[in-house]
Amino acid sequence: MRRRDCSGFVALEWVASIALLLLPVVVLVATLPGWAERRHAATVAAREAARVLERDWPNADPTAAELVARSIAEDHGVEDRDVDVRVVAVGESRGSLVRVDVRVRMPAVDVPGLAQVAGWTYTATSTRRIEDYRSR
Amino acid sequence: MRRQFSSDGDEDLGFATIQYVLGVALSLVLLVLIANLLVDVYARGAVRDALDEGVRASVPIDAPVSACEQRAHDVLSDLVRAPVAAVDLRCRRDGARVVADARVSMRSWLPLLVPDWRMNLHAAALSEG
Repeated sequence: MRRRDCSGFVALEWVASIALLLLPVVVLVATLPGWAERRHAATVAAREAARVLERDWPNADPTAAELVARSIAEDHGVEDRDVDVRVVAVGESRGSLVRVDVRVRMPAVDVPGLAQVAGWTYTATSTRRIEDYRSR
Repeated sequence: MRRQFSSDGDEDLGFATIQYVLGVALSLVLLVLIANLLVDVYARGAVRDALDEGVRASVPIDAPVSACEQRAHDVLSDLVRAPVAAVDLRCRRDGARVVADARVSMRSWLPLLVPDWRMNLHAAALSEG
């Protein structure tokens, strides 16, 4: 009887330690680097979209800039549905500003291939000035 | 105070059982895999940074494509070395854009359990002028 009482003691501890210690560590390790990568992706995407608008001024196409931003986000492993690109200003005249906002969803928990839970949105903004003596 | 053991051995029932040892061993293997994943994810981020820096180096007017590869290699040598990740990167012009591609291979720490992690990374930037 006493022998039976002791059975499973170790296995239970092991399962508990996996659940309470290792799994949260796995989730953290899988999630934290993703936040930095997504932040970087948003920053680069906004910068490149703003550069496209500035280069093509005054005939800049906001759709083309958005495509560039989305393609760069994709290069960084951010899925298209997690990206929202807003061309806030295209530079109405010389000396005015071009501004692009790129919002990227940051999952609170992100285990690749398994789960993506909750989250918030990070917004990267890039602003460029149309030169004062820029030719049209 | 000395402890007396009973003859039937019930009180010796193991704290350090086979299950316990296996459990600890498997947990440590899992920890190694987690550490491996962490290092690999860092290396992936470092290669992406290097590609971004590289294409930015070729953005100015008249900047050669070789500036991209030079800058990317410089960043890589600062952030991640060969034992962690083997990186084969190339830069090229694609119309008005500078494009950098990298083939990355990250060695598994436990090759019997997990294969090497291979990936293709990509960065692009619009050239000036």
